[in-house]
Amino acid sequence: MTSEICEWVRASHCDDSSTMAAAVCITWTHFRGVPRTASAVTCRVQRALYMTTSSGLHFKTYCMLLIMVVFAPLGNVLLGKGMKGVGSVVSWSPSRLSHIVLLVLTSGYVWLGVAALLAFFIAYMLILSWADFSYVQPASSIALLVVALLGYFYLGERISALHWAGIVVICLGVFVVGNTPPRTTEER
Amino acid sequence: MREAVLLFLVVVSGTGGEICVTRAMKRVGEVTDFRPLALVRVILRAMKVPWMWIGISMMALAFFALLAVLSMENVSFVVPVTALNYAAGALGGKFFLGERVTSRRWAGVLIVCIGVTLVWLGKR
Repeated sequence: MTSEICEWVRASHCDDSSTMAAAVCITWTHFRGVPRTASAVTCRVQRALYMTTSSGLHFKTYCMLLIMVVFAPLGNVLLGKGMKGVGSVVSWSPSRLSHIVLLVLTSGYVWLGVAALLAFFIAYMLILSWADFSYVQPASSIALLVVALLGYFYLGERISALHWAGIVVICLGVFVVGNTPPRTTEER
Repeated sequence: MREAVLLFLVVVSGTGGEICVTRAMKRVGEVTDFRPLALVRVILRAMKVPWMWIGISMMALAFFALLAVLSMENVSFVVPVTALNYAAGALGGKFFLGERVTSRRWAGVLIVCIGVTLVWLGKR
């Protein structure tokens, strides 16, 4: 009887989460007298339910990754553009420095850059609440490449072949670093 | 030379700040409740840990150093070099937080360092 219901639940309703929830209720009432079997059934139902919602989860994750990979480089590039407008910080005398601070605070590009970095940071925090760090972190290697591309096309920076090679190698390195376990210390 | 000092500050101060914040957050404990009110409570609790303040000030210092270095160098040079954060992070994690760094992660750090060297050489 148990396996029969399990099969029925798995075979017919895996792609519809609301029917799935109903199925949980049905099986639960069916097996209320037999708690152990009932929990086994709900366990299976939950697993099937997880599989169906995980396509939504994938979509959410990819959206967040896209936001991260776009906004972090955008923030850096805007900061760079803003600071280029301010001019090179060459003198450290107080009057010159205060003048530069004023220029930075009134630069629209700098504020836009800060806003973009903030958007990145929020997406980063959100995604880390459900996805593994070791899954998310390699994405920042793509962000490095995007920075270089934005710098090249949008800011018109000159990048030599060796420079490109270095950027690609760094991306590779970050990718390797990201593919390692996120926690190596004991739980305290 | 001035760029090198500033970049050093960006990397070391930034990573140092992250390590301090990590230390503080480990003391606060794992965040399991993501409702707004509970999050506010977590933030208030985190603010009471001195490591948090040290970490935040180091990160702020790193941010201003980044702004200064961006005023003199190209973004496509500065941002890839800040990937040295991973090297500093691996060292800091090992020596200050007692994390075990796997050989795979060391290999990744080494590759990052090679890449940064190439970028540095390719700049001129």
